[in-house]
Amino acid sequence: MTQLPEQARALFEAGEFEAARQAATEGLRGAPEDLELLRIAGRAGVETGSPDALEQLRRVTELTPEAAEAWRDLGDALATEGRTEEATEAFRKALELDPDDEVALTHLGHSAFQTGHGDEGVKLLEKAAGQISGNSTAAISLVDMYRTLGQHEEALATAVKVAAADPTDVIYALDVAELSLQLGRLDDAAAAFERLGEIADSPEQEVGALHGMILVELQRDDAARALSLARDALAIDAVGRTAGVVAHLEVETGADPTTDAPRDASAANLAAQGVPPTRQEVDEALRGSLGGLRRLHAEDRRPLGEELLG
Amino acid sequence: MAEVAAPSRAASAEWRRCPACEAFVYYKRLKRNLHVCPECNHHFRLRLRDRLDQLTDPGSFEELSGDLEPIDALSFSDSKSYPERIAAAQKKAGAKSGALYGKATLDEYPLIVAGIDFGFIGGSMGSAVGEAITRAAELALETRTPLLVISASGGARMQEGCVSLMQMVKTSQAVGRLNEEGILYMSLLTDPTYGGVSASYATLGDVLIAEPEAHIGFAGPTVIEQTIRQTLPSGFQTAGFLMDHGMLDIVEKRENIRRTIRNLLQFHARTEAARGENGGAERLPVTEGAEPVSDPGALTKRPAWDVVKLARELERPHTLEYSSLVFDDFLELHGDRMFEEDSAIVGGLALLGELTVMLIGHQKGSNTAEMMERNFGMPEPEGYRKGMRLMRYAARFGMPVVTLVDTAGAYPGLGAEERGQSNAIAESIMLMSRLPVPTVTIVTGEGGSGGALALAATDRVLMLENSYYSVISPEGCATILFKDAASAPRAAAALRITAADLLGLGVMDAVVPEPADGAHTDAAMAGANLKTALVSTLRELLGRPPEELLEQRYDRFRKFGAPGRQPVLAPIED
Repeated sequence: MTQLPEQARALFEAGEFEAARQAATEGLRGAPEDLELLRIAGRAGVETGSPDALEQLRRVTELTPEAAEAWRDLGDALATEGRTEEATEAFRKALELDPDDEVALTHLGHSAFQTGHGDEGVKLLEKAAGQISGNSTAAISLVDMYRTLGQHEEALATAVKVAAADPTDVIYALDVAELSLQLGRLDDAAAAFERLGEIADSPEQEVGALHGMILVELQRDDAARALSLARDALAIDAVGRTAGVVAHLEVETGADPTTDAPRDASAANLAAQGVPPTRQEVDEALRGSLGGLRRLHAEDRRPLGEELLG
Repeated sequence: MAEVAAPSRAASAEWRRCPACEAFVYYKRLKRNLHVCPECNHHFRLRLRDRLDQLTDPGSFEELSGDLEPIDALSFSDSKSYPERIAAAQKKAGAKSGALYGKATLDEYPLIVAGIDFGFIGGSMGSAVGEAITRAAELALETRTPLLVISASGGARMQEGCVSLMQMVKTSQAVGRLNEEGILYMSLLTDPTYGGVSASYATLGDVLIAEPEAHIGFAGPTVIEQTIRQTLPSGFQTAGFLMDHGMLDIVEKRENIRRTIRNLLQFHARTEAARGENGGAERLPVTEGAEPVSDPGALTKRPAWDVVKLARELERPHTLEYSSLVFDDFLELHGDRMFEEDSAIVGGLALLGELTVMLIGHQKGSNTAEMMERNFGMPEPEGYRKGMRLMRYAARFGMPVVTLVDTAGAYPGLGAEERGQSNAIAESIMLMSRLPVPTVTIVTGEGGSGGALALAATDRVLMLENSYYSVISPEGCATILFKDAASAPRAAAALRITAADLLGLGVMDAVVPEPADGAHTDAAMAGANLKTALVSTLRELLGRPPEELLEQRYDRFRKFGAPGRQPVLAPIED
């Protein structure tokens, strides 16, 4: 019996949540008000979906109402259950007790933004992000929030930091590239798209990076360079997204479509029909390609996991 | 500030933005919700390991694919060498290849599972993926265990050239063997499944399951738009789109997929068990309905026209109602795999006591909206082709086929003719007549000519007491032969379409009694009587060898119109 708290703690630290919950629950039979066991059982229960978790963590707040982490744990359990308003109350309480609690700040920031209080959400997340070295969900979300609020300078500055902390992430690199393009920093945008191409692990991603670089050259009014890039993209574009771009740029530059530049059936088809896409259609197609790249990778993000210390 | 003695493990505060509705969602909540956005129900893409965790019993998955790695048979290089790309993908995914397979259980039902991880070079199918799927199918064959394959792929892997293309054959022929040997193969198509994967093993399952909004297709939408220079319709290539076009059996929310697969395993486990039990007759339930009648004189006499009116009652139960009145469980399967889902014919796996049967039948509606949706129970060729697909399914696994007939006729439309209505009916009749499993038809309402017969070429044909079966509608006959549509009651009598007459002609084997005022007045009683008739008929047929069934079925229909064998009815008395 005396070893149960240690055992439960060790299992919890190792991420063996169900075993930790069972060990803590077993320990609670002999010591039903043991704070540590209650907290381990509750937190492990949140991870495993135990119906007892919420009440266990609520009991911890009753026993130690002045402990910020007790309220934070309760908020976490409530947020996991989707009980957003109650979770917000618990996190507010945690923040009252510890104004620097990153977890509470992060939760409250997202909740505020989600309920239409964008500026408040951003402020809370800025504070949370400022307290964490390396990447955090706060910083990552801030990029999106700034973009949503039209604060592109702030978004870019944050995106650059996020990308620097994880230089192999496609979405972070794409954020930097797109925001640089949006702000007219074409050299930075070109470099960022090039970087995106370097970290690509599939030709499809490389095509996306090249599409971004074509957008940069089109903004620079350098159609010849854009055509060269488009032909590079066409050579590795398995799904033919670049055919229309090439057809448009060949008309634009007066390039000879009969050269030995790589072509495919779609490009030839478009050329034969004599109706290449307009510049607007090309812009839309290229931006659509970047959007596709974002969608493809956004859902593949792994949990950051342990970036915040409890 | 007080402190609580606590574990030091990190507290998570991770949030995700839903790409569909752009809501920020707490990651733990998202995970608890099986990675489905609680705000808009968008199904986030799942890593294969998470998917396996959701679908299999905890700790039951035993991976067997640890040695599989892609082979660079072409020494391929584009802007990077293929081995460099593999190494990068392996590092990112923390796995040697983009696929795995192994043994598992689902609610203790044994299962062979294989899957592709989209995060590994876009889930593209190269040598390692093909090998994982093929080995899984071979193991399923060797152990006679159901196979589940989970796909998410952009298509063939370019860097492996024709070796990648050959994986399409390798995997297809492997699942083809399962098909020949009657081993269940379920294919779960997740977002996205395209190209060489969708055009090989992934769409060859006995049952194809997809999540809502999953994108599935051969060519990508951008390629199609650029080729045809047209904007594609909203929802193009989503699971719903494919379902509407008859390409999927089941589109199910993530939370229900495990249960659906479990149901399939349960239906098939019962079929497998019945194989060694004299066809499974002892698995049939005890019933309490009235016994079927085979003596015409024992039936209530009603004018034929009154019977026609009763048979057409809107509230009369149809196939889906009987699926719950008669059967203990029913899992509807959809699609003809060719053109369209035709809801005028429904079908699926049904449980009669402890025996799995394939139930197929016409489905009218009982109100205007339902009738419109189901084309008033008048099938197009796709309905019959769906029926045939399900009959072949049943034959593959040795399941009895039960059909319920209730249609005014096959749909007389331009499109139906363009897509081969006649051939669809003919093929269905021929297929049914040669199915190597027990087959039973019950006409439950209208038995309208070829449209009905397409589901009625079976070992035993029964009808409900107030249903009718006819070569043409009484109104049609009245117009053509009596030159007067108002003579429909007279035509109905002349056509000898009632249960008593059809028993006398030998077209029917038995008649299912109805409640006194018709099946629509007491659906429960109608269902109970139908169940009793079905059980007693199946009890007679189960356990007979296929050759005997086929011979006797041949003879059953061979006798009609044969001199000396065709019963002749006495003239109608005024």
